[in-house]
Amino acid sequence: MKLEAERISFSYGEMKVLDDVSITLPEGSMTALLGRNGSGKTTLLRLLLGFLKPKNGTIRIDGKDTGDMTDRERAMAIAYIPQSTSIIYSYTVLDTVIMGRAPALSLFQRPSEADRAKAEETLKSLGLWELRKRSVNALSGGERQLVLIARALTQEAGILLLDEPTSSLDYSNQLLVMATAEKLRKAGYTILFSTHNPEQALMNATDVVVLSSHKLAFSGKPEELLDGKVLENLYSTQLHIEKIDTGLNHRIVCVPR
Amino acid sequence: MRRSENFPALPFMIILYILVFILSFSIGRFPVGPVELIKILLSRIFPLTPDWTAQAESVVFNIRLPRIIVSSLIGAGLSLSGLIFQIIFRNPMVSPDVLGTSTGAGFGASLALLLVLPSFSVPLFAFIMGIAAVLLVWKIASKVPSNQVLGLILGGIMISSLFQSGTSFIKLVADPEDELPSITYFLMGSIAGAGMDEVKIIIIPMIVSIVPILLLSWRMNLLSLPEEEARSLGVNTKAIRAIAVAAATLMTASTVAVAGVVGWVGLVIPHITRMIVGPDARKAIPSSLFLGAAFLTAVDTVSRSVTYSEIPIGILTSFIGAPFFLYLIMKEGKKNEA
Repeated sequence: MKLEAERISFSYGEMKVLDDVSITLPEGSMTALLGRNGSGKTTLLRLLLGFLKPKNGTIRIDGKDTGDMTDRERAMAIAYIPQSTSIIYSYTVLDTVIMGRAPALSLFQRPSEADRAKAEETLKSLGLWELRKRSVNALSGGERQLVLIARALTQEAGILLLDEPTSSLDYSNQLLVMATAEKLRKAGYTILFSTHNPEQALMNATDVVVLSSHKLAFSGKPEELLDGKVLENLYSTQLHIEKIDTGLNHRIVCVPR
Repeated sequence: MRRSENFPALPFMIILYILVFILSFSIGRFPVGPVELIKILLSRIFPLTPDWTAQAESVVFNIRLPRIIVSSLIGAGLSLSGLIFQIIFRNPMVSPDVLGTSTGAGFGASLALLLVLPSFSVPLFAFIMGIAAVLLVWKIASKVPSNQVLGLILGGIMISSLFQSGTSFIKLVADPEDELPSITYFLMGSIAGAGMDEVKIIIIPMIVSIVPILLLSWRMNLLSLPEEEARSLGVNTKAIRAIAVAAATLMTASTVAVAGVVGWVGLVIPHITRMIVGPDARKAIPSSLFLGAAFLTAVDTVSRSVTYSEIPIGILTSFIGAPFFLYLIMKEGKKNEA
């Protein structure tokens, strides 16, 4: 699925939060969204998810204006994977993942055996089967993030929006979550993730979008960032970016100068 | 108590309720044996030749049956409304009393009694003031977004105390000969002397509230997720939350209209229910109904049989509920420490 935002603006009262931003997420792409705190990243995600309505501009999914979609229709196209979740009651992993079937069910409908089977299949595919009876609250941060991804996949939406998916994870879980996202992109999902880690954008993304002072500062391929100019401007720091070829693959290092 | 997936929790609750139901019929100043009781009850359906006294039949149908129905409905209603509030406010520490719904409803009912309005206005005023209390507390908590748990509980204490003062004022200005006794008696939280009239007041609001909540039970789970997560799953959180608040308040208000303020049931029973069946609302909602009904019927049986003059039921539920709340706070504190 393809997601386009065309010239969208948003403000809270007098305060402009997003000013004339256009981005396109082609099908099967993985876009990193970079920007400093308060640059409008979260607002952009909330607009794309339909939690907020843009003051100007349109958002389209496969050419269809999301303003004309119901909440359920939108949820069948875009899934949201929050930074972390606070689930107050101790639902099991399986119960949590089945919740992803909500957009496909009418108001009074309960999930069927087929819905349950779908959730179980997703758990198996992400290697979470052993956890299915555990309480979500008893999981580690990384496991929990994967459960939220499983819930989003059970939603059967083609577009996945991840809000700083690795921000509260240890290093190995960061790698695991990013590798999972990469696998999903290769399977045809369209992915957008926000991050504070420029290396993630350079390493894992197929496309990069940079927001700065509520405006679009850059939109293009990660290779175009290798000269460092955009990122140096963004973080007001001198950076050293180097591409290391290991023979098998390449690695990118981004450190302050 | 540890829950296991295969434990038939709902049938267990139903059997527990049936046992309490039969026991409650038999116990009292006029004992009726279980066999005799079943025969008397069945005689209304099957043509049985009576081998029991007319007095026994009268006790069963005119005194105990309405009272057991009323106590069951109050228990079921309060525990379900507590469960609903705990889900939609994403907070296991709230209940109709903590949120001020009960005191609000008590104030509304007292106001109707003070103004000597027609009898249907007692539940109506109770409902209006109950819903006003919830909405005010909700508004207050939304001003403390960093700590909603605290906001809800402190807001509830404040609004409760406001309505409590309002009720005191009503008592002050009420005619001491006429209205004051009826208000005071009403607020004590008693179902002594409940008859078929009380059953009629409470049964329709209960059905109107329980049916939509049962139908929505799976979706209620989604309301316990953070707001944006629920919305990203296509859930119309506003509409479902509005239905749920209306249903929970209607149930609380109708119990207040019949029995005054019966505290703690709405906090304690949902907790015990979740401990036994887990948080899935598809199980927790029907289970909380039966467990609440069994609990309050049992408490009422005790309240009418241990001493010569009846103990108002609200006193007994507080005796059980308050220590339990303390236990919860301490358990929660330990969990946060770990």
